[in-house]
Amino acid sequence: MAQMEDSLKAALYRITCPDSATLGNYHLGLLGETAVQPIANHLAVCPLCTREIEQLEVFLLETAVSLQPSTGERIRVWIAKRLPSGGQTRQGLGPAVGTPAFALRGSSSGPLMYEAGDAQLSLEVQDDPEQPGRKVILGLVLGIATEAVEAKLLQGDGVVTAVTLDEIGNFTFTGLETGTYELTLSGADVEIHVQDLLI
Amino acid sequence: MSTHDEVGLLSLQSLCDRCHRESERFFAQKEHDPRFCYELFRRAFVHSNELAWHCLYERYHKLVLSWVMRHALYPGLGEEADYFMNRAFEKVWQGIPAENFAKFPDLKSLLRYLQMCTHAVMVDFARWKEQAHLWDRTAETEDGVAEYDPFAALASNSLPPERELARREMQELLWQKLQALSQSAKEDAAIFGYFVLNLKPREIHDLYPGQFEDVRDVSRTKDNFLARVRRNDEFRQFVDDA
Repeated sequence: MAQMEDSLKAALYRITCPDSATLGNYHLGLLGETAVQPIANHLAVCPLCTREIEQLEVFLLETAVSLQPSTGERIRVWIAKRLPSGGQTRQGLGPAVGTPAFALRGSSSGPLMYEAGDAQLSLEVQDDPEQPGRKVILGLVLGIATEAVEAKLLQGDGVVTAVTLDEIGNFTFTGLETGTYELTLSGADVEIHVQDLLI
Repeated sequence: MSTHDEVGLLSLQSLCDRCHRESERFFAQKEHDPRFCYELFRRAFVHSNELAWHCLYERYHKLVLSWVMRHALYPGLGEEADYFMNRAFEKVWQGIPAENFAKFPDLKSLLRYLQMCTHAVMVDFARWKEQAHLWDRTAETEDGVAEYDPFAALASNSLPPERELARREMQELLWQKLQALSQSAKEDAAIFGYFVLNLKPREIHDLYPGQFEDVRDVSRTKDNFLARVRRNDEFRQFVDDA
């Protein structure tokens, strides 16, 4: 008789209990209306599931993910829009003003002009004089505070290179292979993205 | 276009990068922006984007590991924290189909769900261990001589998944048969407390106030029930067929 009793206990242990994720979904209010009542009925007669819910409650409190302080949209995200070649922007960043400080002689084409939120961006792609077959990007950002802004060049799923803007907004990437890149300019509260940058 | 819309246009690499930096700020308890990590979750679940999922795993696996090690059950489970951390991510992955993502309006709700899944995998493991212990006990007898056990066919700890499913069905059927043989609410309470909850007679007595005369009445009710079950031809046939 004792062995039969043990076997029944082993075979039937928690047989009517909802699985732990269902209990968790119940606790988080994620179950549909029809699923809630059977769980509530079960909890009324099952001290083990009740204890597991209590454990979950304590665990959630102890490991509470506080997302404070957060102001939600702290960072302004701008996708840069390409302006027509030689076009004037609202702050007058045209080819004359916007030519990067380090512009090299013999530039193959005029600068690429972008507008992104409050910022204007000029990019000039040239041959790299020190590495034949490679390219240089000379960039200039105006219209935003450029202190501690990082310019990053991405390709595929990796960062190719990154530099910090100087105090007037210039940056340079050298030794680049031709291809399509994404350029990001990341500051403390602003992020500018230049997508599909073909050099 | 609002800035929120623009987050949705960012490349995965940019999102991953910014999510990482905002997470660092979050862990340093600085002001942070949760939209980037949330957008990664959205791409992972709504678009089944494996790279987004990989990035989220990289961002949060240490956090989940710390949760595992803080869980009250962890010291007694006898398993590595990595094991539970990986099961927790699997559970989250399985638990949020694309059509349900709208139930999670912000990053906080998603991380709370991840916490719940961490708890759930540890509780599942604890339940499994308790049941394994009960199965082990069935193999032991006081004098080393095995009694006749009509349920031996249901006792196995390591079945392949398809047999596991069949065993589960058989166990549910067994429970239905037993319930059908119960003749009173008192017997219902006794067999539920004994066999489903593995409670002691005192605990069953306390769980159902007024149902039993005293603690011994709990054992007596269960013994009478089992005696009747053993005499029941239909039940014996069911066990033989199993």
